[in-house]
Amino acid sequence: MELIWLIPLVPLAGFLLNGLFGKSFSKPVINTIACGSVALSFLLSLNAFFGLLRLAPESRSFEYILFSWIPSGSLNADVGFLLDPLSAVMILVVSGVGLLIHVYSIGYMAHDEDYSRFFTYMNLFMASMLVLVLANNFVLMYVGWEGVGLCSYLLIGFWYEKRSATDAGKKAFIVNRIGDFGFALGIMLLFWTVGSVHFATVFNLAPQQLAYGGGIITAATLLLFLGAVGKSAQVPLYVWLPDAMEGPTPVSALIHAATMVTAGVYMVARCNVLYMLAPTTLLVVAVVGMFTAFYAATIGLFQNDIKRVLAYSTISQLGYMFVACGVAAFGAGIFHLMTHAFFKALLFLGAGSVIHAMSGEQDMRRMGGLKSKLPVTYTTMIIATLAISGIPLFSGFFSKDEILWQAFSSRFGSPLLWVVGLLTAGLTAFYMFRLIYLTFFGQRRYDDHAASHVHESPRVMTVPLIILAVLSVIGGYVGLPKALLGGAWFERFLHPVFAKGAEIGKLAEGAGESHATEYVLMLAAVAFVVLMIFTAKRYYLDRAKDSEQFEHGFGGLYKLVYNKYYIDELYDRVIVNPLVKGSNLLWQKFDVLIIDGFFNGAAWLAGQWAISMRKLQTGMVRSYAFVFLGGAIFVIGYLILSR
Amino acid sequence: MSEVGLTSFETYFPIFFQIVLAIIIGVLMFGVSAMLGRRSKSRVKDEAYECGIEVTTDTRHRFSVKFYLVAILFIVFDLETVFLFPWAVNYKQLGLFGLVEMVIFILILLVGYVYIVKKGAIKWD
Amino acid sequence: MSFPNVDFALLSPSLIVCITALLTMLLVPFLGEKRQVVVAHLSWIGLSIALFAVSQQIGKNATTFGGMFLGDDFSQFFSGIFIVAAMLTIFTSIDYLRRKENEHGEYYPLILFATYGMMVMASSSNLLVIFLGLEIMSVSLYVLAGFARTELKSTEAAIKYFLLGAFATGFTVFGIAFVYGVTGTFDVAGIINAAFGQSNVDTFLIIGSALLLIGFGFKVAAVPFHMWAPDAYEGAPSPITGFMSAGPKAAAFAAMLRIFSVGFGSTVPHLQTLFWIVAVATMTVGNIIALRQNNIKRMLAFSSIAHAGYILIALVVGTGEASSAAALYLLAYALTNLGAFMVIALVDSGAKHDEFTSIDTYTGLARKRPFLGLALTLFMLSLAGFPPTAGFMGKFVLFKAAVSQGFYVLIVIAVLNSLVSVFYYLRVVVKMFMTEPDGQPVEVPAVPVFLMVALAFAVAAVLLIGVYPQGWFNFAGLSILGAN
Repeated sequence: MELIWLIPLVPLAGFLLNGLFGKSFSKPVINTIACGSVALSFLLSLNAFFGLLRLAPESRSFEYILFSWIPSGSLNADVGFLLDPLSAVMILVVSGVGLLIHVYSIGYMAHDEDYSRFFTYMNLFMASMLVLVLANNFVLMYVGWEGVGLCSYLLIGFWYEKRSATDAGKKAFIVNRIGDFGFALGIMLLFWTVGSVHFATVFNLAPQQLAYGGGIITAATLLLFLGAVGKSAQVPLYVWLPDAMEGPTPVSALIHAATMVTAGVYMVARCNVLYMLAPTTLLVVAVVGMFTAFYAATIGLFQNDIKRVLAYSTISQLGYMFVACGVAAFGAGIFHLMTHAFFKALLFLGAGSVIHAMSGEQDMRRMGGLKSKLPVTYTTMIIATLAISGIPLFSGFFSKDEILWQAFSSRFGSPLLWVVGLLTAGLTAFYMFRLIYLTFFGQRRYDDHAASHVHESPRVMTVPLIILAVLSVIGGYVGLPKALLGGAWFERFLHPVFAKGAEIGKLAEGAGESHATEYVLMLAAVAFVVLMIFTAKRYYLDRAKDSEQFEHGFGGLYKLVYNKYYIDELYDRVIVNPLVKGSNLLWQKFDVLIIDGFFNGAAWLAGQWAISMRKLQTGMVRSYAFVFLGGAIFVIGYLILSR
Repeated sequence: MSEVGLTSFETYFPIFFQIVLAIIIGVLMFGVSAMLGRRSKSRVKDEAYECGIEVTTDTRHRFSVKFYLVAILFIVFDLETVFLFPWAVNYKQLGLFGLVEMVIFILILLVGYVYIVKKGAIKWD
Repeated sequence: MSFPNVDFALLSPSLIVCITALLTMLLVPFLGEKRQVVVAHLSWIGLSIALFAVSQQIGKNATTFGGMFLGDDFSQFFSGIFIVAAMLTIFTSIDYLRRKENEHGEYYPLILFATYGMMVMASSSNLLVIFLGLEIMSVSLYVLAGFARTELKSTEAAIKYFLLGAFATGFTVFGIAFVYGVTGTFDVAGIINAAFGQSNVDTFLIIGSALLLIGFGFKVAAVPFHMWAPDAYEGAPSPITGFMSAGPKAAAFAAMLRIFSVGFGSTVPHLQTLFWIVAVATMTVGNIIALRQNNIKRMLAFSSIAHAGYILIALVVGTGEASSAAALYLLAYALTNLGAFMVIALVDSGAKHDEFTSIDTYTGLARKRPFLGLALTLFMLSLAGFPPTAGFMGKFVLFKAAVSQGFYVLIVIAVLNSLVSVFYYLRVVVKMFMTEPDGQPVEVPAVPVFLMVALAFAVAAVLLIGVYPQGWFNFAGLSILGAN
């Protein structure tokens, strides 16, 4: 476990190697460095995980301080890493899924000219993400937080010749700034009031120093949550994520589905002690999460771009995770985070495989009937779709059911949350099967030219798909709930991390409704989901010709949803345009006249001064000696006269 | 010696007095001769060597750099002897220690000497 | 008279450097013109042995020669800086001299003699010994500045440096004489003992300390004794300019810290205020004039003046913390500047004469040679004081030491000055990265092996100190405690 500091460092080394010398490396060398470093990280993470398992549950927390980074008065930030059940799960998911996606990328990016640049960014992302989840203090976490943001920006705009890609990159960066600003303010507020940025210290001192539900802790947690809202694309800062699909598909899978966007959930879970101290914030988290989940699901209903459907689905699923956090079921949130990482990465990679086969086509209206052409992709994507829809026996069922149950039964939950959650689950099943039917079933809707290129992806891409499919099935069994004769092992493993928060929130373990209620709710959810799947089948498979008519039948509602509630336009009109206009005005009047005037004036003054002083520097030794003598007389005179 | 540390301007008065005296004497000698002396200006008077060999060329000759080299090297090795004098005077008291010290000193100079000889600094053509 | 008890182990670092210098000098005329490079290799090998010897003496904190030679951690820290500076300079010079067709072996023993002088300077609190070291160093440097004999600028640099240096030396000797006259001792501790507790400080002691300040002020190029620096820096061969800004500056500051921080600071009234004035004047004048320079060596000369101004803050503050901060700053500055001059020397060596030293030469350099561009950018950022570089850490600890003593105005001025300096450092970066050369771009030679090693070392060190300053700061801190 002493080696945990190597986990982020290895990909960083890969980043440096490929970044500095990538241009002169051959592809196999780049592959070896990029995938090898992530693989090494994964092995080290496994080693750390098993090391942790060997310890008694209550002592499963290990800090390794690499060196003291900013020792400045009371602000002490180390480059230190924290290994506990929570970060262990995170590093396994990040490095494991990351490894699979790296391997997949070898095939997907094979024909790209900027091969080494892609893997350089990917490795930098891995390093930053691992720093984020392993940090033992807020400041280092913030470093990782900004690092992944930077990589996200770089990778969204990876094809920088494309205007839309660079715009999307900028949008992601700018929207995230708003969140990061809140995050930074939250850290500062905590440091100011608690006097430390070290996780363990803050979580120990906060309950003693800050009043339960008081203004400070509420403000601090809300600010931190603002950061999470930005990074994890929740309402109202979600607008960047759909656009982020401009990046290469493995990037969407890794960064914008499986790992980076879950950083907000991880952060909230990490700070569970703080959130438990602020019930108001918990309510906000739950409501924002639930609203986002439902809202994004409705947008996903009628999108035609395969990746955009998945993007809205990601936003919606992240909403679920926040609901879990908001009802103080942090374990359930992390559980869903993990299963979601598996099946959503798989969905994206599958979509990438489809796009790859269709020579870049992303519109589902021009696909159809690909089932026989892409058997592996089809099979794995079906598994992922069953998982995300919450069909029993697949991983998503267990995690989603856990969240729904907690939303219903937790001290912080409410039946209303459950109802909206159930509706969202139904919508999810509907749009996911719509995607499947449009893509893989029905008649072929692409031209002959495209048809001649359709092929199953190479082994290097399908093997990761298969592995992820296996994980999407079995990944849920680690958290099999007691109601289904399981041991809820996953949550028990995580429990030490959340024990203190549970204590504050007075959450009694194992209490709540009887299993009977749980079964009823479970059955209701499954029944609704199945119903929605059949609805999708009816309109997109059996009566595929009428599907357009079916969609337009919703009238204004369809238009509203199809155009994403006009939120982008609204933001443009209400925020962006006034900002642009205002800043133009400021630029012309204030900047040019006053600020520039001031600085240019100061620069001009300094320049004039420099010119006149330069004249003293004549080059004549005589005058040098003269100045010297003058200085000497001044020094001696000053000391004698001032005595 | 620390009582010397309590000096003030008075201690230095004799030195100050000597400086003033030197200035007075200098000014006095020049002044008196200027007042009493008789001046006659002629070409011959302005010549470099008034009562020597007749001047044939300009005095501002360019000398070979070798003159300077030899002169400077002479000074260096001449100073060596200056250091040898006090040692020679106290040879008995300093004993073996003094001898060793001096040998080191001369060895260092010898390094320099070998260097300049090998470099041909004192070769005259 | 019996043999005095001399601790040769303690002397070993400086003895090794001195003997290496003598032997290599002796060797020079015996080697043919083609084989002069042997001297360079012998020199750096000797220096590395000396560096090892230094590492063996850390923590001893002993004295020898009747207290005239101090082997404390302070001197070991600075000896380390000098030796590393000399080695890096030698690595930079090997190819530089060859390209400039100026391969005369004397160059290397001169560097060694200068290093030896610096080590003597930093290893004593006896004014006379410090003066000896100062002269050994200075005389070697005068010659080195004029080493490019056929270049007019180089000769001019040497003459100016020598004339003004001799002028300044007069002040130093005169100051030492006054102090000796008043206190009857050369030793700093003795001087304080003699002068301390006197209700009325002797006028001659004040004059003496003022003269010493002037003499050392010249060596560190403090305003108004700085006028020589731009001409000397510009004219001297590029590796020597780097050496001059790193080694001798650190040596002079080491001596100043010993003399003023421990000695006169507490005895002479208003010395602190005077240092305040000189520090502010130095950093401001240096930075302002640097804004308008078009020659990179000249610009870095003014930058070096400005940095001297920052370091003078340590003498204003006068605490042990400030001294160790200054030591760290000097280390950071030495490594950064040596690194910058490695790149400058390489670019400069592209032409036989010195036409490749203007900032315009660097136009578009980073596009053709990204590694060189990145390295020089790193050094410029370090000079400007951006994190995570050594330069930032140096400034940070130094300013922190001053703020903790309440010198707010001084630090505000220093920070404003750093802001001004960003402009001219970044100008080089902008030239390298963002402008296209009009006409034929300058041909920069390939990086030779030794320079590559030195450059890699400098880059790593600058980053290492920037990211992990604690260990270095502890070492620098220990070294000052030993000095008291």
